[in-house]
Parts: sequence; C-alpha cells; structure tokens
Amino acid sequence: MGKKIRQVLMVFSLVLLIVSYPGGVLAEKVINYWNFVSEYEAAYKDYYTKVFSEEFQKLHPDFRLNAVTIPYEGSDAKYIAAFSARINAPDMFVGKVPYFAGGLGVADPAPADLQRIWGEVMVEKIQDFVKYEGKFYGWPLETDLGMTLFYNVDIFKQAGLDPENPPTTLTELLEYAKKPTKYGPTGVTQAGFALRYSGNPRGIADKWLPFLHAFGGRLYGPQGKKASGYLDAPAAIESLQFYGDLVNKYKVSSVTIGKPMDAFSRGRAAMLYRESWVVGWLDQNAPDINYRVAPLCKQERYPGISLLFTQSNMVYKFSPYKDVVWDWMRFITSKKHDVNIAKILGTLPVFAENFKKMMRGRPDEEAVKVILENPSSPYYEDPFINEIAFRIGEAVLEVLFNKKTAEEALKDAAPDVDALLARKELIK
Amino acid sequence: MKEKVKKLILGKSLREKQLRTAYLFIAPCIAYFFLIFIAQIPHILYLSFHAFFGLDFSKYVGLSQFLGILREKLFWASMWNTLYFSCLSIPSVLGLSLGIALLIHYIKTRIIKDFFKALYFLPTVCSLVAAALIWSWIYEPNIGLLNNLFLKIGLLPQTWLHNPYLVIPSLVIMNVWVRLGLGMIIFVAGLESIPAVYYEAARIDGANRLQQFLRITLPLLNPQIMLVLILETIFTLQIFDLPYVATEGGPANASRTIVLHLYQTAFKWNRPGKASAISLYLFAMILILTVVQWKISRKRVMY
Repeated sequence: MGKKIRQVLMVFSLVLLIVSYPGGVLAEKVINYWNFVSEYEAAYKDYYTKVFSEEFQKLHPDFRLNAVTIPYEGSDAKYIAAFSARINAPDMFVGKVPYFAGGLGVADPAPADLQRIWGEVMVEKIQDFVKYEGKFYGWPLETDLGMTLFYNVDIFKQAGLDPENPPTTLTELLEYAKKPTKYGPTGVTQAGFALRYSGNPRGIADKWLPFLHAFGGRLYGPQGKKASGYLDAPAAIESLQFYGDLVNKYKVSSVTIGKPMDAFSRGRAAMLYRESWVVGWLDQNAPDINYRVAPLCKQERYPGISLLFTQSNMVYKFSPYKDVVWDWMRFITSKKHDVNIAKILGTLPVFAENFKKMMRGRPDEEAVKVILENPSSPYYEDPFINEIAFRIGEAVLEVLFNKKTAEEALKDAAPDVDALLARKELIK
Repeated sequence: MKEKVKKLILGKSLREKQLRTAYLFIAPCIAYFFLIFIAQIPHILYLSFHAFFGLDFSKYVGLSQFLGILREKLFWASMWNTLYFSCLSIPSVLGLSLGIALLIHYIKTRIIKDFFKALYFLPTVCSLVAAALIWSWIYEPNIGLLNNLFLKIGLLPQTWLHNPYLVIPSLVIMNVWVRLGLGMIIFVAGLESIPAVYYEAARIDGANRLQQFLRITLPLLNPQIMLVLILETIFTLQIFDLPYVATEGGPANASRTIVLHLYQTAFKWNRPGKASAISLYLFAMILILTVVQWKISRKRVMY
C-alpha cells in the first residue's frame, strides 16, 4: 500500500513539473523585454508595462509584459548566453540591427505591413540604421542623428570665448579648447574638450568617428570588403593624429579627467561631442549646467551623421510568442506612444511628423537642422561591427596613450579589420 | 573493486555505514564538480576545433584556431600582463602574509591576537568586485584619497589606473590587500603547530632569533608556504574580477589579463571556439607551473 502511494505521488509530481515548466500548459504567458535604457529605467519600464496592461491586454488577455533593464556594459554577454541557450531568451530586446540580424542571426525581420508602414512614417535619415540587407528589423528608441557639439556657456565666458560663435572647424575647436583648459598636479583638471578614453573600445571608436569623417576618411570601403586603403589612408591617419594630439601635444584633453559626460556635467569640461539624448539627460541630472548645442565641426567636409550604433527594439526570431510580440510592436510604435516615449527619454521621436514638431525649441534644434541638410557619413553595417569597432578602438587608445603614432596604430589595425570584414562571407 | 562497492552500498558494519554517510555528504560536491568542470572538457575540446559564426553556424577548423591564437598580439599581450601581475603579486602576498603572521604569532594576549587575525582576514571575505570599486575611488587621479595623501606629504600624485605603466602595480596592490588574509591565516596555523621545544633547544644551543627563523620556522613552514604558493599561482593566473571592474583591461589593453581576454572573446565577440582554445592554453600553463612547483618544493616539505 505504502509503495503504491509513493508511486502515485511520484507520477503526480512529475506531471506537475512537466506542465508548470516555462512554456508548459499551466505556465503564465510572459513576454520578456530586455532593454538597457537605464537612465530613466523606472519611467520607461512603467510606461511600457502600463500601456501593455491597460491597453494591449484587451487584445491578448493571457499575456503579460516583463520589462527588464540590463546594464549596457555586460549586455553582450547576457544576450549571447540567453540566445545561445534559447530558454528564457528575451522575446523583445534592444540592440543594434546589423549585429543581431546579421552577426548573431537572432532578430526577426518585420512583417510585410510594418515594412511598408515604417518606411512611410519613420524619419528618413535613420531608416538605413534599422535595416539589414534592405529589410527593417527594428524600431529605433529615438531618432538618433549622431553627435553634436555641446559646450558650456559659463566656461566659455570665463575663458573669454564668445558663446554666440562656437567653433565650426576642427582647427577652431583646438584653438577654442586651449583657452578654458586648466591644469593641476596630475594634469588637466578642466578640459577644453572632453573625449572618451575608457570603457569599451567600441565606444571609443564611435567617438573618434566625427573626426575621421571631418577629415574625409572612412573606416572601410563602401563594399564592406576592405579596410586597407581606407583605415590606413592619409585622411584617417591625419584625423587620428589630430585626435591624439588633443591629449598629448596640445594637452586640451585628458585621459585622467573621467568620463566626458561626468566631466561636462560637473563643469570640468568646456566642450564635448555627444548625441541628442544628452539634452534630456542634462536637464534631469545637471540642470545647473548652462550649455548650448552647435553642429559638429568640419575640416575637409562636414561629418554629418557619424555613428556606429543606434539602438532599436527588435523581436527574437525564435520566440514562441513571436506573432504576439509583433502585434505589440504594431501597438507601441504608434504616433501617440512615440511622442510619450520621447518625452520620457528626452529624445527626438521616430515618427517624422512628431519629429518636426518636437524638434522646435530644443537646444539642439539648429544643430539638428544642419545634420538634416547635409549628407550623412557612411554607416557601417557589417554584421561583425562590434568586433571591428573594438579593434579600431584599440588603435585609437594606442594613440591617446601615446603608445603608437596614428600611422603605426592604423597600419597595424587595417589588416586585422580586413580579416574581420572577410568573416561575413563565411555566413552567406 | 566490485566487492568493495557492494560492501559500501550494502554493508551493515559500523565502518561501512560511516563510509556510506561520508560519501553521501560529499556526493553533491563531487557531482557538481563533475558536471560543471569534468564533464565539460569533451565539449570544450569539441568547441576549440570549431570556428563559430553567429549562433547557429560553425565550421571545423582543426588546429588552425590554436595556431592563429599564437599569432595574435592581443593574446601575447594578455599573457604577458597576467604573468607580470603574477610575478608581482605572488611574492608580495607570500612575504607580507608571512610577516604579518609572524607578528600576530608573537602576540601573547589572545583577544588582541584574534582581533588582528580578524582585521587582516576581513578583506579576504570582501567581494573582489566591491574591492575593485573601492580602490578605483582611492586611485582616482583628481579626487582620490591616495593622491590627496601624496599631495599632503609632498609626493607627486600619479595617474594610477589611468597610466599604462602603473596600472598593473596598482591592481597588484588591490589584490594583495584582498589575498593577504588567507595566507596569514594559513601561516598562523602553521606557526602554532611548530612545537615550542625546537625553539627552546635552539635557544639553549645559542641560536639567535634570525637563526631560529631560518633554521626552524621556515623549514617547518614549508607545507604552508607551498600551499600558499600554489593557491596564489592558480588564483593570480586566473585573475578576472579586478581588471574587469577596475579597468576593463585598459588603458589601451595594459591590464588585459588572459581570462579577461577569454571572456571577451567568448561573450563580446561570440567566438566560443576561440575562447575554448584559449582556455586550453591557460589550463596547460597552470598545470605545468603547478607541477613544476610541486616537484621543486616536494623534496623540501617536512612533516
């Protein structure tokens, strides 16, 4: 009798285990959304969750949204681990389209109706950033038009510079940066121009890009096959040497002053290059900083949109709830929600119509107009752009820390980048 | 063998029951070790002979992956940084922990002795991540505690973690601060196990303190010295947390260690095959060094 009871209990436990495991019959249907919008974590997550539970659930009552913020640093490892395992992988996630669509092959292309609609409503300048091989894969978090020049008006005035006439060329930028720079026992204590020198080399490559494009250079050829002849061309070498000279020769920048955003928000940097989302960030985190925004400086040419990464919401190709997630994407990528999300994040909305309205009166309005009126610089959509940017960032660091000249660093990097560019031929 | 296993499972004698209980207690640990470490070895070997593109596509590449790694400057830079870190850290931990253990050993009052033991051991139980964050602030060039102290005593402030030449010594100081306690506890236990009669006999024979230390203490501490040496070697060769949190391998790869390189290869660039090959190189290096240490020190170990 005892043996029979034990057997029945075992069978019952087994059945209960089977039906309640993730994806089982009794399991709750949860759409997991991973994002790294950490700056406004609570507000952004709350908005998404609120819209899902109050509005979207009327269409799909048995689903729930679980919005999770993961730290940006270390997000690569989390994504790779989750997508490799497939179990508990996010159904919807934020990232860069070429990498997730091409490099990892985990992003799902948008359905036909969204391919058409997104092409009609999205700001035209950013559409290529969320496409891979001509198809939309993601809806951007914002209209990211790359970097602009942020400058501290008070520091300008103290240094005898006219805040109504910010620098327009890189040569002027250097001259302007010399005046507000201050020095202490360990070097620069107030930077004329704050540049990125720590953290992921990918980000460091990204911040050098406007300089590269201003000198007329590019990272690799338009066919995406070769970096040799481009990355080690005279224009690229000259731009990187100029960039490194800001630190080593002219000492208007520093590799000890801390992160550029931190330095700028604490009034320890006169100028920096950053993206438009910083407008909202500064309003929230450093409202005392009296700043203005100007277009990027040109040299041989105006650099235009110079960015390596634009973050988009994408759908996981192997999500068991893929259809529902695409329904959710249709729902959340509406004009009304686009405006609300832009207000929460302090960014520029994605709908062209919303973008035109919300751009008015922003500190970066004029700078954004200049971006829109000028041609964009190349967008680098290689599926292995993460690793390519990492290698290039290493070259930039070698120059910033005076370990190599720009020519040595780029001539060493170019063959490595050639090898990385060749990898995509193997996945075709 | 079969008989022994049968006796272990079915035996009714006290000894057999005690053995069975003992094995049951250690079974979860052994199972964990087997599943997480040993059972993965064939998988790692398989991965190391394949190159991966995306998450679903891999290609057999044989030994070319291993040879390719040996041609990479970043691999050798990471190896060099790791060895440099180890060469500075191991003797520092060994020397300092022995020195502190000796000082603590000579304290007569038990409560004061225990207080200092706890004090020096506290950083050991502190998370390496927390230690890295605390020390990052101490090392901050403009507002950090260390440079402010330097300024007050008239020394030139340094850029510490932002200086490619100082970053490894700075990380070594962090590591020594964390690891000191463990070596100290081991040496204190070793010192307390040395019979006092040896010192009495040496004193009668006219030996001074230094001679007693060199002729009695050091030789009898050989097992502990070897233990700390091997533990520190294995630990420092696998150092990851400190450089990952404090410097992310910077500036300009000056503090990129081999495990950090392995981690980034696997999880930033999605190259599990290459990372597996690097891990095999690391395993071989640690094994060889440990065996060499064992063989050199074994003859001198006195029990």
